[in-house]
Amino acid sequence: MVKAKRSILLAFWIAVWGAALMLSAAGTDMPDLSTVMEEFRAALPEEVRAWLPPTVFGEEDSMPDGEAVAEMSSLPALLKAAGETLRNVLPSSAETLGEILLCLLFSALFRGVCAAFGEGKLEESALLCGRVGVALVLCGGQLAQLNLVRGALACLQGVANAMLPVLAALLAAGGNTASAAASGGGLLLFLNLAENLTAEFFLPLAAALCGLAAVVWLPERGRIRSLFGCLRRVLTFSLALFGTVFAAVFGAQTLLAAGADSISARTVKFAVGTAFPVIGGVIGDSVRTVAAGLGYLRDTVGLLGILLTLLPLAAPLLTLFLHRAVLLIGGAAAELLGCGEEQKMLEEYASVSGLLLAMVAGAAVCFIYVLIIFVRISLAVSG
Amino acid sequence: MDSFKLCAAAMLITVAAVLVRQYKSEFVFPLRTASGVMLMGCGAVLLTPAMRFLEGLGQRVFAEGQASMLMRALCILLLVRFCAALCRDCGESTVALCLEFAGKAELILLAIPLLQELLADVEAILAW
Repeated sequence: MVKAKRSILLAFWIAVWGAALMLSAAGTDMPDLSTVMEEFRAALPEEVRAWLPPTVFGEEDSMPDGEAVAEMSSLPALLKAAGETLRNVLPSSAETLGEILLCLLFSALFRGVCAAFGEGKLEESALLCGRVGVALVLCGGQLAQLNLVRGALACLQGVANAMLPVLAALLAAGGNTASAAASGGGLLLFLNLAENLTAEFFLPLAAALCGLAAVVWLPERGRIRSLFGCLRRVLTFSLALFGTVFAAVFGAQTLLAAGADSISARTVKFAVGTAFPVIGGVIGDSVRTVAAGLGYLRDTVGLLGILLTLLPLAAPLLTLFLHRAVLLIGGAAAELLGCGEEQKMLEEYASVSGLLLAMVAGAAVCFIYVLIIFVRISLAVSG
Repeated sequence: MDSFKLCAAAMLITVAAVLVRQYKSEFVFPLRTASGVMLMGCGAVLLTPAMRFLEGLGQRVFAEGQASMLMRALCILLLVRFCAALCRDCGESTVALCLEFAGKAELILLAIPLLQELLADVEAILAW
């Protein structure tokens, strides 16, 4: 009975979310359930789609397969999924680290050979060739990271933006406009604004920082370094301000029932606060609310709903986290090898990578809040 | 042990140059050039394994052609330094200065394609 109820709620939730995706593009009539599920399955990232059992979305015009959902929600299946995610992400990070270390070794050796001939303007000209080559290699990986972040934010932004017209339609259809709007419509709008602000303002600013970090080592770099520092301060301040406003808006945190303030919750809060720069404290403070919200989702749409929410967020966050760790290790190795210019470049890249990680983490938390509020309003309106 | 032999050879050449200067000063320049070439050649032979390792490392790290460009920069540096030192020893400091200027210009010329690629990447990121 409970499984059937969860299956019904899950089907409704998937249908609403899939309809939200499609309404944002077509703006026409509501499609049927099988089309919605097919579109939803196609919209999932490939690695998530490969992991899902084939019958998890059920046959045509039928409910999702409860046994398939139970199978994929089991601990061995989750551990297997985590292992596969790591297997997909670790090799590229290891390759990047190897490339950086080889580059630094080359730079140190090149510098040593140049120094063997003496120390003068001629050697500096030769060293310029070496530094440009190394900067070229180090700059190469940054565009891929920016594209990864843009893809992740675009996915979150698209779904968040698509929920608004669906919510409006639900409110109009339900007739319960006052209470539904009062319960979360304004917050939903704020979160949408946050998602769009991250994608349209913070991310281009981070891209500008990446571009400047590539040339910050050039001779006569005083002005470029000042500009880089100024832009980084602007971005850090903006992120911190956004985090403060976010915490203030959700300050009550009574919208969703908060979990117990246990030692494990505090440990997670500390770990999260340390792992994410700038807005780590805000995200750490949100851990209890996010946990309570996910518990609410589990009670309404079941574990599958939570997994389908969290899985697309896991790979980008893990990739960014590992990339930042790689850049920090590279910076430490550069210091050991005496490559001062490369060390500065890697440290600047690491700081930008940390800001990108903070952006995606913040957007992910906002997205989870948007989903929870959307489900809550949808269920309240539909009765 | 190579260093001892090189040092001994350099001392002998220096003594020989001092003696030759007293009797036939016009033979000092050829003696100095020949000894410089010999010692530089020995140094280059000693440096060859390091240069090969550096080149191999460069080929793994950089794109095609970039590694050879950087090795060429090192060769230009070595040659220009040697010739400039010879010119100074002969009292032609102006010639040495001009040679070093030409060497710097060639090294910067070598760096230009790499700089262009780097600036193209930066432009792609800034215009992203």
